[in-house]
Parts: sequence; structure tokens; C-alpha cells
Amino acid sequence: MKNIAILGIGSLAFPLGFIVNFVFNMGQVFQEYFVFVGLISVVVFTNMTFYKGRMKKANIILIIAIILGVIQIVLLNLYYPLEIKSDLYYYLRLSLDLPYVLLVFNWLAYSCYLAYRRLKNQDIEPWIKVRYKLIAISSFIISLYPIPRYFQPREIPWGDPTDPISLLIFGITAVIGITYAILLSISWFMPEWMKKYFNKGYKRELEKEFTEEELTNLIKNQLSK
Amino acid sequence: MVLMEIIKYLGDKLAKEINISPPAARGLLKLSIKDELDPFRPLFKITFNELRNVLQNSFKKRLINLEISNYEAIVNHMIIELELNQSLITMAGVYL
Repeated sequence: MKNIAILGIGSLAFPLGFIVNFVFNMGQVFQEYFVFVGLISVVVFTNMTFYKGRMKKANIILIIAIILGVIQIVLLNLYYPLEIKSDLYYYLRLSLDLPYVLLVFNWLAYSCYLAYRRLKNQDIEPWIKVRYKLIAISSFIISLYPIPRYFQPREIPWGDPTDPISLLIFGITAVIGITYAILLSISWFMPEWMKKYFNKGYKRELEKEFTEEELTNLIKNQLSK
Repeated sequence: MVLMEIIKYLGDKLAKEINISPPAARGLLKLSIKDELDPFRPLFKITFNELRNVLQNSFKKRLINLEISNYEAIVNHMIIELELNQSLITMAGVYL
């Protein structure tokens, strides 16, 4: 499944960018390229999973996400050293980062929720419905990630233990990130015992294999009633 | 077989549409798939585009052979159902 491969690449891009930047001190601009790959992969996954054959609206979301992502990269390239000193550049970039992240993850959350709503009363294995719910909830939670960053004091390093506000914001974003990772992992890597737990009380119909002749006769009989 | 979920779902819709039993409707869909694609191809490897082609081609032919008059409307309805619920192919099909 190409869509799953794309989501996998995107999911790896976030930690990879962070780790390479952390180890080799490549800078925030470098890391932003990985964030861009990660976020755009999420939109491509959403479009390929939910919107094949009706891509018009989906492509508009993709184009907006790409534009917002490119703006982030351009702003960082132009103003990164400056934005450390200037509120204007710092909050301008944060203000454009918010719709970018909200759009990407809530597009997935919304698509999952709509699909779940259509399928919740259908005869489908319950663990699959749980997977829809978990992806929708986890995507919504991670979409809130940029909000606490508004309250981060600009001149204080991220997560500085001597500054209570910075520490609190670091804690909130860490909780958001960890919650997202746990829910998303459960949804895609759900262990067998958990599937059985969710499927408790659900009975699968045994599938009868028909021959060509049997099926034609059966349908003709049923149609003539 | 979990990937049967999309076929099961479409089968339930088809059963209501032409007033036949769900197992018969699913059987009709599965035979249509065998007509269009390699008969030994496992059902869980079928993609969205292949399933849409099945509905547009072999499934339609089978409805015509069964003398179902409003076959065009049924095919269109099934394609809309597939497009709206295509995520089942991924959500039910990914076993990691």
C-alpha cells in the first residue's frame, strides 16, 4: 500500500530531523525541511486513503498545506537569526505555523471522523472502528501542538528548568506529543489481544463459496420473489 | 480475511439495492472480481482502482446477464459507496 509507505516516511521524517539537528547542530532551518516532508506526507496519506476518485477538494487542501509549508521555510531562511531578536518575525511565523499544523492534522482527523460516522452502524469488525476513532482523536490532539508555543518566552530557551513558564510549556507539548505517539501506535500496531477485546461479542458470518451456477440460480430465485 | 470488509460492506449495500441476500450479493461481487482480475489473486491485494474497474466492467455485465433493468443506477451507486468508504481498504487491510 503506497499510502502507508508515504505515511511511514512522513512519520520518520519528524524524529529524524530532530535527531540529526540535535546531534550535528544543523539549525532550525534544516529541521524545518523534515517537518515539511512529514506534514505533507500526512496530507498525501489522507488524500490517498479517503479521497481517490474525488480529489478536487483534497488537492486544494494539499496545495494550501504546501504553500503554508514553503512560507515557513522561506521565513526561517530569511529571518531566523533576526526572529530571535524581533517579536514581529517570531510571532508572524508562529501565526502562520498554527493554521499549517491545524490544517494538516485536522484534515486527517475530520476525514477519519466522517468515515467513522458513515461506518459506525455497519456490520464491520469493532476493532476497525476503534482504529478510525484513535486516528481521529490522536490527529486532533497533535494539531494543538503549536498553541502552547505562543506562550513560550522568546528570550528563554525551550524547556529551561529555571523558568516555570518555559518548563510548563515544554511539559504540555511533551504530553501532547507522547499522547499522540501512544494513540497512533495503538491504532496501527494494535496487538491481537486488544483486537479480540474490542471484537468481544462480535460474530463473523462464515462465508459460503458459491459456484457460478449455484450463485446464478440463487440470485434468480431471490429476484423472482 | 479482514480485507473482505470492503466487499462485505459493498455486498450489504447491493443486497438492499436489488433485494437479494447479503451472501448472494457478496458472491456476485467476488465472481465479478474473478472475471476482471487474475482469479488466483488474493482478495486482500485488490486496490481501489481495480475494485472500481470491476464495478464498471464485469459487475455491470453480470447485472445485465441477470436482467436487472436499472443496472446503470446500481453500478453508479456502488461506485459512490466505494469512493465514500474507500478508507476501509486501508483501515481494515493494514496488519502491522
